[in-house]
Amino acid sequence: MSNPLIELKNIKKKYTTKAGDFPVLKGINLNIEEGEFISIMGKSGSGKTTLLNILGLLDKFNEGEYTFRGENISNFNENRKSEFRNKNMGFIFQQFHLIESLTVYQNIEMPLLYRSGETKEDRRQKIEERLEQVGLFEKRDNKPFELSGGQQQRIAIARALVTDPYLILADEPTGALDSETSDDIMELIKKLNDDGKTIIMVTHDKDLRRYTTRDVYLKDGEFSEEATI
Amino acid sequence: MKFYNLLRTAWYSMRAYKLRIFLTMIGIIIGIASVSAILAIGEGVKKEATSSIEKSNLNKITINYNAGFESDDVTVRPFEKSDINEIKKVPGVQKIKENDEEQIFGLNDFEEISYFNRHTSTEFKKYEKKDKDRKASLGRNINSVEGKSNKRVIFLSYRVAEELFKEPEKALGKAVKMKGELFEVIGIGQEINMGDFEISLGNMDKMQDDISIVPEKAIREKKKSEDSIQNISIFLEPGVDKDEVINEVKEKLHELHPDVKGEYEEFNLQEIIDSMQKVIGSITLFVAFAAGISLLVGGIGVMNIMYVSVTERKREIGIRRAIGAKPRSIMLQFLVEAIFITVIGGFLGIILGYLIAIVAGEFMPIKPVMTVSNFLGASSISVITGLIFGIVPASKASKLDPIKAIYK
Ligand SMILES: Nc1ncnc2c1ncn2[C@@H]1O[C@H](COP(=O)(O)OP(=O)(O)OP(=O)(O)O)[C@@H](O)[C@H]1O
Ligand SMILES: [Mg+2]
Repeated sequence: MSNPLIELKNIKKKYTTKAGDFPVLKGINLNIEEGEFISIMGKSGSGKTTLLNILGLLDKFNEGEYTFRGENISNFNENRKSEFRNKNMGFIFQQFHLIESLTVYQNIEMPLLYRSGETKEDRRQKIEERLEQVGLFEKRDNKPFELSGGQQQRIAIARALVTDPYLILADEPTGALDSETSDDIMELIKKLNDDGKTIIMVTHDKDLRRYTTRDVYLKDGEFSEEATI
Repeated sequence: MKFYNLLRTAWYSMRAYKLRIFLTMIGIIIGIASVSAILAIGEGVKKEATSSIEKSNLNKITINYNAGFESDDVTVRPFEKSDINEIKKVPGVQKIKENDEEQIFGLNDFEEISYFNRHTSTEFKKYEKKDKDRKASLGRNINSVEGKSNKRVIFLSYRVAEELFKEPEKALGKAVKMKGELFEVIGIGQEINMGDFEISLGNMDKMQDDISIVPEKAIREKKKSEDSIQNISIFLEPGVDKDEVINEVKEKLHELHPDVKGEYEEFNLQEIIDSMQKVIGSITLFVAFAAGISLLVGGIGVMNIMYVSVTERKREIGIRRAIGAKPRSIMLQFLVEAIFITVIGGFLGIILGYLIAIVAGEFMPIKPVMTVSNFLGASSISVITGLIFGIVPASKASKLDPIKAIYK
């Protein structure tokens, strides 16, 4: 069998503060196959966001090994990490995090500008395809503040997809939305998974388990059985 | 990130903060405007000074003899009448004139002039052909026949007539004393408005009206020693290599006078022009530099606004990092923004400065000149200002930790 998409081996992470060392992750082991839709669940403060940020190469870890498609990426420097994120990962945040000064179109275009060798026309095609996919083609020239929360999250999804990454990382993507809009967004994300995208999502909403293919539970920095949370 | 995209990114965010970017720009505009106004005026002064000197003949070179420290035999004479024919043979020499007076550049003599117990001094010269067109305000000009003669008449400058007689018209027909001789006043020159002299550089021609004239042979100079030649003037053919001709003439003179120990030296107008331009140039630069201090203030304004911008846009920076921007791309983005401000400000400043110079030129007898090199100079100063004051905030932006920036 081929390598898993992601292999985490004994990942340990502690925050060093004035009050002393604070261990958040105490030896995480996790394998993720391509095509999975995984949710990371747990109480507030259990380290979900920290783990997701480590998976997204946004945060460092103190110990352990991170392998992505067979490549050990534990010791990448900032430049290589940036390149790696641009090429392989797409991020969806709870607060959408679109750039307010740019139009919808420009927001989606942004990841493409940080890679070389794409013509304007290439970019236009990709952006318009994603705008269609999230159903907001006609909003392409609007500014983010002119959109509803759900629409903004769709744009954020389009932005995450535009580079056609292997992995989508979502931190409580529906956390700021009402339940109806949440369902729309989850349907959209589910469809991405049906089309073959690997998705890792942090959430505390147990209802969302109906969309996922696998759920892991964090407790005090370690994985545990669902029953205990 | 491609440079074009970088520019676009910078442009988009500048549009989002138009007003404060413009306010920041004002500092740069003022700084660059004052620098380029001064450069333009300086250039104008330089040009004016040069052109008024160049009105005198640049093809005329005077060669003096400098005995130096080695004393020559008293009998040694550095120039002889017979030299003239020899030097004429040097290629490139058109005409030669021997001079029996020591020559000072372009100036005429000053002499005390009196009417009984009233004294003043006048600049005076001997009548030349070109003086025949001089206009008299009272009486008449010396005519060309008198001019060649030794008649003791004088054409007084208006100022002198006024100083000696209070009312210039009273001077006509009176005898004034100069160099121990009496001269009859036959005419008085045009009155000159002293206001015109504020900057005399542009007024060489007008100044001519302040000179009194006597006929060519009316004054016999006491020569240093009878018929000795003090120096010679060489008139060059147009288009010849000046230095080469001068060197050949000097060689020739040494050949003709093997016994002289001193040096033949040329009095070269070009050198005066060059050194004058240098002086004006460095004064201009100094003043421009002083004006450039306002640019420093503008630059600090840019630095300040860039710091604010980095702090305000922390989240944007974090998002860009998450999406794949390298630290270097973030740094360049903010640097380009800073340079954008200073370059656009600089460009507006250059235009404004030139306009200021033109307006200032209305009140001065010079025409400001914007040269390509001053334009490029002012432009690169703008770029450098942006670079210097943008680099610290930009590097701060690039070092932000993406997570902290996103979840600020
Ligand atoms: N930069 C930091 N410095 C120190 N401690 C931190 C830092 N970031 C997070 N922590 C701590 O690490 C623990 C895990 O934080 P994390 O954000 O991963 O939790 P979470 O599971 O995402 O919680 P939530 O559900 O509330 O988002 C928390 O106790 C938090 O206080
Ligand atoms: Mg969290």
